[in-house]
Amino acid sequence: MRIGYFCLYTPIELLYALSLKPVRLIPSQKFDLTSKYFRYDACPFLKNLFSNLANKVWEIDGIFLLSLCDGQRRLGEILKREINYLKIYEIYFPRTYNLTAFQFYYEEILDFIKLWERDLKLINKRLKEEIEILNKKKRRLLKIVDSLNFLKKAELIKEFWEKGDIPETKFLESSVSEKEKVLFLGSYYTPLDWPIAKMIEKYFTIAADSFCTVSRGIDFYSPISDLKEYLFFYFSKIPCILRRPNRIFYHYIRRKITKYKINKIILYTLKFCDAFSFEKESLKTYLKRPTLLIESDYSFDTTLQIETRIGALYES
Amino acid sequence: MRVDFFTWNELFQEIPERIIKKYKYYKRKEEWARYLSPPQTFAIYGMRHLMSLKFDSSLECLRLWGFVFNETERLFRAKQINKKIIAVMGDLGGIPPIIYSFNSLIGFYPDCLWWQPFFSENYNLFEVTGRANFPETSCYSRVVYATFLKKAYFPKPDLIVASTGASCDDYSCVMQNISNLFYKDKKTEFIWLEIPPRKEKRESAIKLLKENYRKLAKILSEVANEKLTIEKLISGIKRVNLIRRNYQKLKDLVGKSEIAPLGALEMLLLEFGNLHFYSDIFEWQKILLGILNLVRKRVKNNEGVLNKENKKIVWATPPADPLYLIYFEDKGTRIVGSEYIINQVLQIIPINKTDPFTALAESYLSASLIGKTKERADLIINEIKKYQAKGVVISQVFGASHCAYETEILKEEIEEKAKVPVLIIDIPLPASEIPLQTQTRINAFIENL
Repeated sequence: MRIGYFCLYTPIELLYALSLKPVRLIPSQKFDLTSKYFRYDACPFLKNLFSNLANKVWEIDGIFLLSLCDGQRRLGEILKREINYLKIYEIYFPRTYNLTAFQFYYEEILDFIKLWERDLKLINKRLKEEIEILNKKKRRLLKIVDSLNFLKKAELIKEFWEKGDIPETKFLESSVSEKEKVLFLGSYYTPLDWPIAKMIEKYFTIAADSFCTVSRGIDFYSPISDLKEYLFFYFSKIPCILRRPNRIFYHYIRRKITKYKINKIILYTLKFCDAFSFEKESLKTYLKRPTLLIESDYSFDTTLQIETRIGALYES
Repeated sequence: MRVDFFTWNELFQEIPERIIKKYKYYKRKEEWARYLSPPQTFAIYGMRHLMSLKFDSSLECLRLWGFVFNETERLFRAKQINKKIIAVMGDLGGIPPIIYSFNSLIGFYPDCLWWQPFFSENYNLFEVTGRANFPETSCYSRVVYATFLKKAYFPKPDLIVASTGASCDDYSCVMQNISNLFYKDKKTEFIWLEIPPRKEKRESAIKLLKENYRKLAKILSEVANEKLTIEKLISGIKRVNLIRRNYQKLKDLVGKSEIAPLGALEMLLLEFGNLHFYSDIFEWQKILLGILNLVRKRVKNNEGVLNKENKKIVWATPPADPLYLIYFEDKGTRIVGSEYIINQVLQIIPINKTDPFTALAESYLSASLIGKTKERADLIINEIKKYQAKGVVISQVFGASHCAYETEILKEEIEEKAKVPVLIIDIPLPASEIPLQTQTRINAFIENL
């Protein structure tokens, strides 16, 4: 069974251990069709994700949803009303680092496991194998993409998430340019947003990013452990701006800034994505770097305006 | 009778001095504890919007307004008389029963200050959030951040409790920014609590909430320097239950009576009084009881504040601008039911003598934002049936996270199951009038009820 997911907190090693095939949903196309249940101010990513699902862009049988943001937690109800072919698995994921909340999440995962397999020992054994396999793949991929420019990196990592394997990369050459370095971060980054990166790379080198669909997804490696410890790793170690408090995320990007000697920050957020758009000032204060906020809804009607602003950051 | 602001002021002149002196907060005897002021005072303080609203002419309601608008002063006074101030955010009503079980603690929701720019018809707080680079397309609750910066709306809290999970995302972001303000502040502790967004696994959800409350009670004990016994907590819960019961009686009387005995604006203030009792539970209890008795009398005498012909409607999600309630009433409706996203404070807490924390957790699971939108729609449908309403108004805020996903489902569920029309309106930024286009839509909706 092929299961679609998009949130980085999805325990994909576990899905593999349950003989499911996880497919990360990173839409490349934009469709006009949308659900009547989304209001005009709903998240553009979720609206477009819905359109892609309705158009059966991916061959999936079900979708794995976590409860991180309001949109994600309410998406299941909309999908149930609109898309019949999909099985929907909704799992609670804590916003805070509360240990009882973790226990709640763990119990939900146990219930999910029971849908597929009752032998927990077997699952633990398979899980360890899958963690090892995925960690190896991620480490290999990290080595490959390390010397590439951001767009190429994003492309390869996307392919990896979709297919579950390292993409063919025989003759890749180092393609990192020597311009002023920026950190690029923000909402769920998909090929529809790539034009923005192209524009940025005219002026800057995107030396690091923290998108969960790009670097953040391969920056963390679960310990080879049994189920609870493995889930606890997801719960406690992977940074996300939506968690409360979100200090871990800030520490993560600060490490990137120090490592890559970055001077400027470009924050890219989708319209109505509160998680990032509320953080601009905090990022600026915490990182003590000039920060540019770019907002988009995939329409790119304002491409020239965005480029002017990027140019202004370059000159500043 | 409903009167305008100017008549309301004139009526105040007729109130004898001894009555004005009679009502005091925090059970204090000093003159400074008076809260019954001429409505003009509030307008002079900046609540310009009052001049566009209509009010119940009774002394009981004047007392209500005086008490509500006196809250800022009251909170500063509380600090002066050595009470500890607890700012509670996000959970809307789950925690105050614990806070008010302590003698020296005062809890309040800065969240309620989202009404401030509307009552004052002033953009200043929005400008502050603008300078903080908060998105303009987000819930008006963002102004709460500005109130923390301004330091004028409440004293510095001794403890801040922020709940996230089943709260709106916008407000979760606002709370995160507020927590950043206190990151290096050693004097004010900031704690995060988790609200489970779902209730299918009831036991786990209750366990989580219960642990939150236990943990919080321990911290509150330290802040208050006072031990919280089970007996004290039960007695605190009973006090809260009494208020919730009286409010429910009032709501039923207002909703089921032939003529509306009380206006929607006062009912909105009364419903939100269940949150933190406007920072003085004992005085609030008396104010609520006074209004309940007034309404009983009016119902008995078949007296009302609106026309008998006004059509019954249910209101979902609280309107940021109170003017809308008045407009709907003026145009021929009466609001009989409500789902102001605070269902959790309308439930009686089932007192469990062995473990009141479990009782609090069980009760809180009824929260409007816990669970599916369909469940929230059921709450609205129950109100429609209970009070025989002819239509529903859902007010929302452009950019507010939950509105974007739930409104259409609510509409569909209500129209299918309750067979009544639903009007969805966006409440715009503060203004002295309702936009003409919205007025036309409202009028058309009312004509079709």
